[in-house]
Amino acid sequence: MLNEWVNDFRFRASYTTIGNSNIGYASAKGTTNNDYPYMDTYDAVKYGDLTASRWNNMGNNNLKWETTETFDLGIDGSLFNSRLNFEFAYWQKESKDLVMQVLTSPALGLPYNAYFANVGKVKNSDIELSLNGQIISNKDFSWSADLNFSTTSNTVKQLNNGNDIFPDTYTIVREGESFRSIYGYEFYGINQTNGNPIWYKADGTLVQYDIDKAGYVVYKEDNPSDTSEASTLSTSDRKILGNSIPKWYGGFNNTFTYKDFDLNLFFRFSGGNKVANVTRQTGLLNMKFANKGEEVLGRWQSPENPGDGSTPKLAYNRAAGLFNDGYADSRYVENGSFLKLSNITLGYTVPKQVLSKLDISRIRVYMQVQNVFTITGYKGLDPESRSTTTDYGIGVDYNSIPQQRIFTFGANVTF
Amino acid sequence: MILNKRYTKSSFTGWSLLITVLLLFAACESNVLDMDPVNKIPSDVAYSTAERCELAVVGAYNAAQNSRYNGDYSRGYPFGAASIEQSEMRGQDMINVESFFDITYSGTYTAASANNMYMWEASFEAIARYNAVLHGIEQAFNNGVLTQTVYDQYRGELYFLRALTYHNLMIHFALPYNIKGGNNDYGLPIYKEAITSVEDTEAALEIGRSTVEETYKFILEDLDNAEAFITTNNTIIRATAGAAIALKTRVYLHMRDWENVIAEAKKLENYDYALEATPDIPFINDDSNSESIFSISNSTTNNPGTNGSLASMLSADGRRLVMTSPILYNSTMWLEDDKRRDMLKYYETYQGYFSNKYTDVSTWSDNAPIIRYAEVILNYAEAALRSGDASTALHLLNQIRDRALANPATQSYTSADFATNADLLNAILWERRIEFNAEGRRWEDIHRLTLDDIFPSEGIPAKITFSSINAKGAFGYGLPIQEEWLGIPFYEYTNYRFLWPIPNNDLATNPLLASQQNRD
Repeated sequence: MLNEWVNDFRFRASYTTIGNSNIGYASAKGTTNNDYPYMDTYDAVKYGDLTASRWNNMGNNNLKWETTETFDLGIDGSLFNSRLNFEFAYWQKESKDLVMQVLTSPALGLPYNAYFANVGKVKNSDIELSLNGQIISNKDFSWSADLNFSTTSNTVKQLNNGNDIFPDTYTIVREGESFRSIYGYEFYGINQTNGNPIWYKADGTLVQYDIDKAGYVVYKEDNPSDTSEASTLSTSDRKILGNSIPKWYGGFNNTFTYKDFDLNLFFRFSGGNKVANVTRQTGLLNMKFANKGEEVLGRWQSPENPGDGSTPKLAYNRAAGLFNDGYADSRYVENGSFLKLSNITLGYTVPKQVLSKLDISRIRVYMQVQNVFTITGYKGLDPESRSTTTDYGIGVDYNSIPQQRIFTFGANVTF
Repeated sequence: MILNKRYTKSSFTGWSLLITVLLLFAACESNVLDMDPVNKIPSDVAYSTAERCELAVVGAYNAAQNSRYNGDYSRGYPFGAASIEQSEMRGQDMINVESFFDITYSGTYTAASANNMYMWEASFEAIARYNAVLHGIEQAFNNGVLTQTVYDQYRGELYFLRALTYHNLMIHFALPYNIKGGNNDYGLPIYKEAITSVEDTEAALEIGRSTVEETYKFILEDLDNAEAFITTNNTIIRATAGAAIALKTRVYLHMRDWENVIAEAKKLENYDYALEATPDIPFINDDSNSESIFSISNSTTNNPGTNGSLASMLSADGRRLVMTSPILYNSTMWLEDDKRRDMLKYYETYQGYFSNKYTDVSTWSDNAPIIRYAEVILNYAEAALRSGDASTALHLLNQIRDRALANPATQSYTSADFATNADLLNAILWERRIEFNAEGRRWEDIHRLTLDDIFPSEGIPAKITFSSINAKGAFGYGLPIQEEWLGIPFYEYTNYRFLWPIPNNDLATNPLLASQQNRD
């Protein structure tokens, strides 16, 4: 009975331990990409007109290679006369002894106030599902499709002394959380009486940035115009605002053929992550005498004209107080989910009858568009864009260059 | 059968081939991985020859000139320019014009504000780099790469730099020597050993702040060693025995140890230092003159840049961020035709004066003067006076003042001008303000005189705000200082502002220092 529609069915399991030979480390702001993190090194500088050498990395003789232990369990098979193939797997990857920077007390004066050590353990567990099959297969028309879908769960298991690591001012690496989660201030609202922005402190109380006093005062819900009691908002009032690593992603690839035409449509989707839209927060909402984004039109102007509820009253040069410029703010941390049509390729193969006169065995002409469109709620240019400098990594979009739409025309000629 | 035989023959060939290949791999494995870095010098190579040790020692001066400001090597922290600018901005003889130095000038600093934070961090980075070089040259000496004389010379230079860096930190982060009991007597954490391993960082985290007295003792120890070990002299941009002695006159003055100020100053009389004929020469010929004792070298290719250099910040032709204050300019203690008034430049738009001691506004190559012979003479004068020797004090004061007077014959001080010793001390203290304007001595004097018995400064002086005098013709010999100009009030030394706080990054990563934060 089963044999009628199950053609092939396998269980598989594997276990591996591999190393990571790539130890060049693009680290936090102000430091350089260090290809020799284990070595005590000097570089060249000048003193006035004299040449000199300068200590620029503290070595660590105990540094060793990172290892990743991978374990997977899966079933694959094919059904319906091999028209549908499937693969379903559960992976677990544990990366240990990660080479990371350990920040030190600046009073110790180490180069870049850090050294490299094997301090981390990160665990990833994924579920992967892959289906592919010939959906339609006729004389003139066929459609084969490929769907793959993965979920990821990433957790930092262990850090040096349990200390948080701040790769930049927007993200955090903390035990028990996803690697490089977004870490910033949680916004509460705008004070309707005076246009001050309000946030939650670590203890749950509310604090507003008072524009007139250029400082923080307590926000009292029952008496919003009262700005008499001083308060603070410090970097320890930040909380985890979301993870920067997508929780699910996948692709859907379709190939259609109709007589001599072929069409390929490839969709990609990803989601479950957040992106700190720093371009919007720092670039478009700058408080200088410079061009700004349209979002400033939604600013608070008066109690009768309170604006969009997230843009406060404006004040020159106060971006740090009003927008938490330089740190993540929940107003500007957006959902990074997207669906992209990543590739359309339309091709035409010249029929054999035409070619037989020439000495060519096959000509196929095609037109291809890459990055056709993106469906996303993300307000920036591209939810997938990454910062072009080593200052910021995943989860931070700061003047990042988006992916371009590319049109290609071509021909394959086989002689 | 046939199948088996074939299998056996091919299996023998297969195995022997495999073994041969494996042996070949084993033989060349050791040459496969090239461990030498292509773009860095490993530390053992950095001290492997005498020439390379020299480079490392010069690198220690680079540390003093330009350590990290917010991750970048720029702005001249601690001594390339910043120590001068910050010390003047804490005092009242120069005015902050824009927002650049406002936090220091107005006293609105916190554990997170930039200038004070990076003065601490850059100074301690410099100290760690001096210690790293000390460690490296010690190993080079033990390996026979350096001779005893050369090793001692280098050691002495590094001890001088370390003492200088610690003393500059003391005037900003600790109370003066003669104030006991305030702020738990906190001085600075003393780091003598290089940090070469992770275990060393853990040991260094156990080092807490020593007392003010212990820190000064450590500074003097380094300077005494510097004096003993350095044998090569005749340079302004590297430490000399003369520089160590001169710095000791300053340190002993801060400790109010008048006897030792005099003893050290007398030692310098055997050296070749001499006042130049006119007060501007040490700045015009900043690389080579008879009066400069130690300056930090800046050049066209290596300098604190537009955001830090002295000419950029202080000059009327630069960015004009720090101006002379009428508090100094208008004083009648500074005669109208004094030649040092020619070392100021008038800027019409603000109707005010900027210092013209640092003039290279295009390539910022002015050296940063750290100590010159004029200071040793005035230190000596003050110590002599406070020990009761008014005539020596007057003679020394006149050495400095007379060369700047338009007409020394008529304008020179005589003992008849001073009814009491206190009046002469007043003249000496004013002379320091006039002579060392824009050289970073101001805060040093305010700090050490906080609870002086004769002329206590009592705290941070009231300062003029730029907006209150901008283009108002406030500058003029003898013009009184209007009350309403003094927008920044006087703060008593007991106010938290008097001491810069230990910065945030250390509070977060060094629990011991965090528990020893300066008082609120």
